[in-house]
Amino acid sequence: MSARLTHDGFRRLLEQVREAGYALVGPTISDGAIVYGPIAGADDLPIGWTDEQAPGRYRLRERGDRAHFGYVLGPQGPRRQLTPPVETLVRIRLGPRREQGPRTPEGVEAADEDGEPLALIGLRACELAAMAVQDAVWTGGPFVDPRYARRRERALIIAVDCLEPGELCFCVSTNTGPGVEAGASFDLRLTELGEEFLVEVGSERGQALIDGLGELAEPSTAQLFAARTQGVLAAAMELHGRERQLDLDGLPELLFANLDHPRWDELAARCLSCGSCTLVCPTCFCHRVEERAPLDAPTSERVRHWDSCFTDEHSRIHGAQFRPQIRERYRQWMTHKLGAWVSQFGTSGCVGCGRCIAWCPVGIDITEEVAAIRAAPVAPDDAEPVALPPATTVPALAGDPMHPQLARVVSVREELREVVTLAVEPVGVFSHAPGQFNMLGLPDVGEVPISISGQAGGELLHTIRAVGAASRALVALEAGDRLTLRGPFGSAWPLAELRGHNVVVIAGGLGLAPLRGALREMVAHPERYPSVRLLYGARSPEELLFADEILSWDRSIRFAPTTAPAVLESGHVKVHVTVDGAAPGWTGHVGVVTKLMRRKPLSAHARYLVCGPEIMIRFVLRELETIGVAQDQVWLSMERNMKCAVGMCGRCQYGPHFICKDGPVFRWDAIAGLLGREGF
Amino acid sequence: MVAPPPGKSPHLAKLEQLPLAEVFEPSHLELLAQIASQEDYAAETTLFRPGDEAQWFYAVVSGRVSLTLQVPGRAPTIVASLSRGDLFGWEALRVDSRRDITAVASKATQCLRCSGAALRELCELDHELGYRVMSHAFDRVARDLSDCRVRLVDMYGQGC
Ligand SMILES: Cc1cc2nc3c(=O)[nH]c(=O)nc-3n(C[C@H](O)[C@H](O)[C@H](O)COP(=O)(O)OP(=O)(O)OC[C@H]3O[C@@H](n4cnc5c(N)ncnc54)[C@H](O)[C@@H]3O)c2cc1C
Ligand code: SF4
Ligand code: SF4
Ligand code: FES
Repeated sequence: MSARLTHDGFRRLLEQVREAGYALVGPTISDGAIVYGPIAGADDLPIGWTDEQAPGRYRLRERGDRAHFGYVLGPQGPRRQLTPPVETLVRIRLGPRREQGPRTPEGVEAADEDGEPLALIGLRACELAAMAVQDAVWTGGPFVDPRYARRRERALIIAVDCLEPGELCFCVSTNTGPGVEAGASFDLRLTELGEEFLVEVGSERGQALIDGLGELAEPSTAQLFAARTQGVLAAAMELHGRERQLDLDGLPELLFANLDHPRWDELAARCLSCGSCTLVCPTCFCHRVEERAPLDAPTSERVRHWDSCFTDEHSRIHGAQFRPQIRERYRQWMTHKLGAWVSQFGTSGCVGCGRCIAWCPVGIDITEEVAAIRAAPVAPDDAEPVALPPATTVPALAGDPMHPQLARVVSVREELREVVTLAVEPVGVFSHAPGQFNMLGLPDVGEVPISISGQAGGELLHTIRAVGAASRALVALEAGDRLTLRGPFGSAWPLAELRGHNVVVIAGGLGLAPLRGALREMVAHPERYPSVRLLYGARSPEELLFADEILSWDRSIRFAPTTAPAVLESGHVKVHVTVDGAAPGWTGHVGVVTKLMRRKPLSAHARYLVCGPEIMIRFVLRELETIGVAQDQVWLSMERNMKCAVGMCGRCQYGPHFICKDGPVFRWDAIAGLLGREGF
Repeated sequence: MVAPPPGKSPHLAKLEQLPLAEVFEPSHLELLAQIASQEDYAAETTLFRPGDEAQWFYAVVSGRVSLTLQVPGRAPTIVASLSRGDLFGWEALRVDSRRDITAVASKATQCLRCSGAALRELCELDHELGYRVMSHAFDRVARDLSDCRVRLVDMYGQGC
């Protein structure tokens, strides 16, 4: 169905939308720009104004007519409304303040702020395309953000064709404009033709609105249709003829093959790392999660904030910063947007809107950067394609993946200095596979990823080292305390695949914790795992984790510190331990774990599980390479900053992978191209 | 080229079973066995101390030897352990050198050892043998060096 509206008809249309209970959101002039925000009606639109854009420049100009949508694009589209820059996820009721120890939670409530449904007025083709990308991020699975899903589902969309594309637009090359395609997700589509609108109906909701206009909705005419077709075609032709294009063909492969291109250095010399590009880009989704815990309030809030991959915190974990340089941050942004996005969400992350060009204070132009690399690639033509992330095998949690449950600490066991194992009792049935992790949290300090280091009956074990605010608070918990828990998340050690093979487990430091569940399983089942060897390295004998337990697995072990009875001894397990240094009296190995690997002849045919700090993993892999172990025989566990654990905050990205949902356990070949590469 | 002397050394069989045997010709092994002697150390025997003249060059046959650094004012620290097949006491390959570390048998240990002077002489007389000794030694020292570098970064220190 279609109709023809005059300006009066259009005004009435918006009034009707308002009367139907929608909050109107549309373009309006504010602070010298066209801002997308709440409007009262048609009068708030930038009638008669347009915006001129150039690299690093944006300004408004009067058009001299009464065009309602005669501008191109403001700095932001509906991203702000669909994923608010600051959003409360849950409210946590706090227990009484104590003399010692962290504040603990007593209840968790959803922060339902189900306001009026939104009517998004004036969305361009590129903005619809960007919304489709955001849909994939927030609702594409395996996890679904119910807040976004609900806003999106309820939103009424009134789209507008572009007949006068802006100076910086290149939507034709990204195939996202200028006309709004008939199949796109809209309720009504407007084409502004002089003093009239041609309206195309895209849904029943849209039809009802048109019907409600009565005589104000006039029948559309063949001339109007022809004018639309001509207008869109002319705009497309004009865009087509421009110099600014983004050639998407083979772009992920091109970028990932050119990670060392000198262009990144040239870019870094100009880029200020201000993050403006990420704030204006309609497809960016990175965020952080913070605790808002007023000192004396009875509740605290877990709050999501927009964030940018250009910030320092984004790529920092305790003791390591993975992207210290601007070059690496810009490269991350661009290789993600134009490369990794394709394998993560099935689409490029650029919809050709040109905002990042206009709003970059130094006028960096993403299309120019791509063209420069394309014109002089440093990599050979047959560069390896980007590895696609493995399908996430873990079933997604039902419901809101950000809503934690309250778990109770049953016991606390001191393992080492500043390392404890918390046995916690979750609510209800909890099943996990060894290698997976939980997000454990407390009101003042927030959540952190912690591997499940074993399960004993209904209790989940988490072995935690106190390094920063959150881990310190968790380590200070006592039996009976409560904490928030979300999980289990991530991939697991491939226990089924290891059956019948000789397995070698190589661990360093606390890296033994994520492996303990898998080891226990293999120790208990000699019929499935005929030979299991553990090579374990730590700084000193005092820092050997689970010493009693692991030594009890190997009946040939004689040296200290063995005190526990050998409960699980079976003869198929060999444990070799090495330390970096020891006091006299230690009769075990001294030297790095790679030295131990050379000492114990290892089979090229065994299967290998590796976990520990990344530097150790890299040296271990180098050693495995010399033995001739193939990459598909090795699994390892990776670590990056994490906030959401469900593939939405963008922090844990590792090339095309989300470590939280595609990992943390990866088969070596899936990440071989990135391991050890600076900036990832 | 030096011809192996008539009559086999009683240590040849032990030498042949060590990993280093792979890099030498049988005739070389016989020569090396001739200058080697077998030593058995009870647990906690000190093999050498800092300042000692570096006389012997060792290969571990069984047991374990720990190398301990003693820094005044700090607790002594074992910085390396050596077990079957490992070679130690490299200083003996250099003329007039002294030990800078303490070597202790941390359990009952058997070693083959030869005097550094005899080994150097043998290398001098038979350059082919000398080349193999030195390249094997270089390989081991290079690996030790690389392990030391890895340790400098404190590989278990950070993260999970
Ligand atoms: C999959 C996975 C499993 C882990 N398992 C364990 C475990 O079993 N035991 C254990 O002690 N530690 C584990 N860690 C590391 C643990 O998450 C960090 O030590 C912890 O996040 C540090 O937070 P903090 O507030 O104490 O330190 P801060 O340095 O103050 O950290 C500030 C913020 O940075 C982020 N961050 C810092 N370090 C890390 C990190 N290493 N990984 C992810 N985000 C980080 C967090 O968002 C944290 O809130 C694991 C990490 C990952 C990714
Ligand atoms: S990368 Fe730039 S041009 Fe592409 S969608 Fe984002 S802001 Fe628009
Ligand atoms: S590219 Fe431009 S907008 Fe983006 S961070 Fe660098 S200076 Fe800021
Ligand atoms: S995307 Fe948020 S932690 Fe992985």
